[in-house]
Amino acid sequence: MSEPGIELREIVVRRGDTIALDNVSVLFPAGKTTVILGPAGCGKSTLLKIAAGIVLPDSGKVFVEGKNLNAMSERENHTFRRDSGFIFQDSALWSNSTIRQNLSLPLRFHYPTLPDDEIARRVGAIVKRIGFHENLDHRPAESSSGERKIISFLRALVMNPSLLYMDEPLTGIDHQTADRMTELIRELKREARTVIMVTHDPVLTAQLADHLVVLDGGRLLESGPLAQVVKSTRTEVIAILSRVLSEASTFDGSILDLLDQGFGK
Amino acid sequence: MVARLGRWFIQRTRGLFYASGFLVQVLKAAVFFGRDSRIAYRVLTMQVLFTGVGALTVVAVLAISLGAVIIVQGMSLLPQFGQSQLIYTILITVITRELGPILTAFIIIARSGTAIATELGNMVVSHEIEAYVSVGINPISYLVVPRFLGVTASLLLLNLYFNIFGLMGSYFVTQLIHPIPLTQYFRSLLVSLSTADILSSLLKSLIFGVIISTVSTYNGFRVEGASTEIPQAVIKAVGQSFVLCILADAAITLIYYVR
Repeated sequence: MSEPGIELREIVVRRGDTIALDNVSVLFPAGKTTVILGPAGCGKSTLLKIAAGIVLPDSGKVFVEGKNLNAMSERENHTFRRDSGFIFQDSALWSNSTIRQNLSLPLRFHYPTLPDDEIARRVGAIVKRIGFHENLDHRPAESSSGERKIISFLRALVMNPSLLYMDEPLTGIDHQTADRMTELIRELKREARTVIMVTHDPVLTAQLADHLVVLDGGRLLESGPLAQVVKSTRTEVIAILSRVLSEASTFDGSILDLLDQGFGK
Repeated sequence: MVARLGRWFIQRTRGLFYASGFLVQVLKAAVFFGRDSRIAYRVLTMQVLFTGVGALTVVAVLAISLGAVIIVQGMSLLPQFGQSQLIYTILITVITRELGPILTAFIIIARSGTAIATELGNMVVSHEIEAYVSVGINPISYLVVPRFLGVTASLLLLNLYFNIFGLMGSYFVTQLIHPIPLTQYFRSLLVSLSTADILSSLLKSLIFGVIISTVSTYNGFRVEGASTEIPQAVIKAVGQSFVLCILADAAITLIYYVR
């Protein structure tokens, strides 16, 4: 019996002779924010893409609200995609399209009868919400990497999804925009949307995470509610948490205390 | 040695099955193109503009030159054997049945096949394909089918265009060597032209279009993640397209003569 949310069962991914993900079973609860942590190259992004059905595992299954993601009917898959958004680590914007076309394509695809002015209104609303001031008729190549990240964020939000996958959402973004985006993610969290996020940012993790998933070398070390994971007695879990979060942190203090206290949550 | 040969054979067989499965998916998606992919019409239009309209000049120059060469050679050689009238049969055989389809295919391989494999390979490397999947857009329906239809339709039309310019080119050169009235020239050509010639020519273009678009998109998608794989994918796309088009050409010509 599956629990509500996204459930991964016995996921195995091989890359040539090495195993990228080794028999990982984990639950991302519905309506909660789950942060995936682990050292670089441990399989975090791959796990996130598998949970989103973008990458297929060599074995194992993904269940969305109890339904096998890879055995969904065309209509179910369409609904799942309409209700989910993915923010890529390297933005993954469509380089041959303008920023406006990048933002409007999901709307045009899912609502083919939507008039152009309504599409423009929805795109304008999401752009205004984040305070993005770039010319929307430019191509992504004309924007900085931080701006491209914001466009990727906007593209994921334009469908107003109930499920969001975020791969390092704030990396490369200036502080002011990062603050606005953090606030936006917090709003999404308040609206009880399901968020699955890969990040090294301890402050973001402390502020937003309800659940933590800790990976190392393609293996699942620990998963569960934040308070439970940070109080883990397993030394390897504590070591990974301290190392991963302090590498990316400018926070002057104990990372585990920061997580435990929830840093202004 | 035997083990290596076995591995090579298994790899090739697997690749062939993959490619066949890919073609079946493309054909299935192409059938439902009008129903499912309203957003893909823009991609189709761009493909037709690039593959068809963009190649008009080079095809015209090649066709006129080739028509001129055939008429000059024919008109100097054939009278020596008392077979001047055969020039029209030769024009139809060479331009309509043989060189029209294969040369336009070669031009499309060089222009569009390389462009398609490069573009899709780049899209794989920059995770753009994954972004399409993430919003629910099937890359086969949105990226492959418009290229498949665009290349195939463009090749059919470019072949007709090649024929018109090839036969016109030969007419203009005829006026320099041995002037004959336009009506007489085209009447003689039409007498030599059979329905089988037209069907064979169009069938070749159709099959070449399917081969070039499928091979190019397939190789573009086979890029896994490194930009260094892209030139390799392009080389494979070009090589395989050339070989498959020539083999298909030989097979259709053979069927034409043994029927």
